[in-house]
Amino acid sequence: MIESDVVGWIVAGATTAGPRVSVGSRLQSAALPAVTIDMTTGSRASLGTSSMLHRYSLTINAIAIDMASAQSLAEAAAGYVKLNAALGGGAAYDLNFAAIQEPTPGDGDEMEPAIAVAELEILYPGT
Amino acid sequence: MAVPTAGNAVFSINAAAVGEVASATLTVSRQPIEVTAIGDTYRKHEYGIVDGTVNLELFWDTAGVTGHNTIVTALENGTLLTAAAVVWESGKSISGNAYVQDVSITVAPNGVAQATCTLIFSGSAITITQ
Repeated sequence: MIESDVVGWIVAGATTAGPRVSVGSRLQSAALPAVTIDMTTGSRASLGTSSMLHRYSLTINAIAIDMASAQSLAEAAAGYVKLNAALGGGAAYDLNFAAIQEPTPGDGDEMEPAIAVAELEILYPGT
Repeated sequence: MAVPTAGNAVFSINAAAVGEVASATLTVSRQPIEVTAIGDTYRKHEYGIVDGTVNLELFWDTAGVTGHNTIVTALENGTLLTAAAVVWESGKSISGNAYVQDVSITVAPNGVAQATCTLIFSGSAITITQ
């Protein structure tokens, strides 16, 4: 599955999130920074089986204790997705990047983490 | 019953499938010729000659994908593409030799290079296999 490929690409890139890259959600007690990915759509993009392409929509959430860390982590994670998609004979490009959800006060007075969101479209060879 | 196109449908040139085709639209027509005589009460037409065009949408890659270079080379040199065919199911197709009328390449900041092409069947039979 492409989700596991994407997780592998980001983990292998040794970002500041290290191995804390997961699909969908993260454990609330997990250390930061961390990355979650969400593959929202997947579809066939080309006819036939010659150089067949699949198209995926990917959202990367980079979660860190401050905005700058979250943003640089999102950029790094998106960069590894683009790099590895190209190495695999596909292509990935940004639809949206550098969108920051700034930390908000949670219950009590503790600050919740900052989240940077990157949205990518991936065209990847299918089988 | 509807025919799923996912894996079976292809656009091919000389029996070789062209890669990274986002869509192929084939139109076959027979323009009517008006033969109404003066004094007739109603218009009258005869069948004209069979004509056909193919409109393609491609993820444009002349370096790495089968067939894209063939299309742009045919346009550049004014040569015919042999047996341009739209196949919608195994063994079912419409094909003919075709000229490349136009190639339009679109690039945008967030995306990949895409092209639309128009081919016109010319000078030989349009074969309908169904």
